[in-house]
Amino acid sequence: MNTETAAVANSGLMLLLCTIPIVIVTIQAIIFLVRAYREAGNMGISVETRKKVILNSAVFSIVPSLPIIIIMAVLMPALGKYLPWLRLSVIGSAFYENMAADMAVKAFGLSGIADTGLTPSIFVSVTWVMTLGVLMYPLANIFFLKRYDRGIKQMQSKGGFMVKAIPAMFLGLMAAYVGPYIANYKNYMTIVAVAASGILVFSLSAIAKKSGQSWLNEFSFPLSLVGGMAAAIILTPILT
Amino acid sequence: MSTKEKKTKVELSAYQKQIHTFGRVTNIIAVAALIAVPLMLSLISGIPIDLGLTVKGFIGIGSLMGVMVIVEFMSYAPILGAGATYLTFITGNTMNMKLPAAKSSVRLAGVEETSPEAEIISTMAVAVSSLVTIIILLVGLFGLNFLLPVLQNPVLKPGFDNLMPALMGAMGLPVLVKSLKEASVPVIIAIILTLIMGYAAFSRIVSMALPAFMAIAVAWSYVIYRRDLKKKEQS
Repeated sequence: MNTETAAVANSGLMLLLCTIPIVIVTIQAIIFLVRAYREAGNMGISVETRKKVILNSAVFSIVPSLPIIIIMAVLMPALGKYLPWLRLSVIGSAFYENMAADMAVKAFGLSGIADTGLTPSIFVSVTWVMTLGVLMYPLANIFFLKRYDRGIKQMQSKGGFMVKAIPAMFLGLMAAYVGPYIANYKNYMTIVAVAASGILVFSLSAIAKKSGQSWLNEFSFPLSLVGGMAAAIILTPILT
Repeated sequence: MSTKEKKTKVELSAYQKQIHTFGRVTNIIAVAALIAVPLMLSLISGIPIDLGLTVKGFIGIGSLMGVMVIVEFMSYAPILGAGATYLTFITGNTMNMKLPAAKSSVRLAGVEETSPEAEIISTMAVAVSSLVTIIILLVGLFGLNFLLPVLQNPVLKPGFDNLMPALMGAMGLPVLVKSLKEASVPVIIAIILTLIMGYAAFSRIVSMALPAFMAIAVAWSYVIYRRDLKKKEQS
């Protein structure tokens, strides 16, 4: 990124503009959390269970957030500090953001995000493209979610198989994601990671039940995730 | 009275109605704030842009995102529930964070998967998960020089490379094992397709193939449901 573009990308204006949506989304998450927490109480879900849920989600979310920092660092030399921060904090996807940035700059005839020919004009265009390109997600929420939600609830109210349809959808989703990892015999580290974390989840729950150490069950999910990753770290130098 | 009117409509609870109102309003505000970023940047900085190329770039990303949004919206919304979907589709990182946070929390709370309680637990889990990511990225923004050497340490690389398989093992295996009969056909199809197409090729199309996998899983579950029902009737 040349100095002229960097001056725009890292300007106070850019910091301010990117901070606003992030603050709004933060407030939104807090409102939803408070509202759901209270409603859970109204429904008879104990304070203890609610606290467990919050702690589980918070502890679990730390590890998958870390690679997002790496992606932010990859995008920063090309797009400045604040645009990657915004794009990964709001409707961000660790998988697609790199690709989206790359596609956006290539439309301007550059070789990729590392191209030093990124002018202030192209930077502003990339900001347009990267910001508007993802708006369809919240627009789907605004226009279709209420109707869709009502339709789903209507379907479930019929009882019988309809109650089982959504858990079945989830099974299909899991099959599509887990299947390739367990069949990846060429890079069997994915098999190791799936197996290690899967076995850990079962084992930790069983140990928790037998020993009465309920905290093990409460942290079984994040611990298993870290365990699966640790298995890959330990076994990669030995097996590959 | 028409047949349409005869159907009893499901009434959303006061909480559910409120969530839809909150969700819509906050999403509209967020959309406006997002549009304001390039708009104000253009207006205040006065930097001219090539409109033709910008539109071309937008069409490229927009068409890809458009397909993804339809697939993800149809697939994830029923599983997450409304409250969690409003948050997930504005904060992102569905498969690698929001869905696992929601599903593991529902399991931990011990509530029925499709119950109103599960919907509320999912909303709480996704809200917390969103806040954690926002905080970590804020720390990352200011502490990058300190964090990056640790995160990019070659020793840790195989761990981060295998984050998704580890995540899927912890989230997916218990679910698949618990419903082994219903899961068998979709899992076998995924394995066969991976072996035929190769891991890399199948991974590229997997997010687009989700509706097909969901349809197969629902159809196969229905076959099992009918068979079990018949068995029950006969006994």
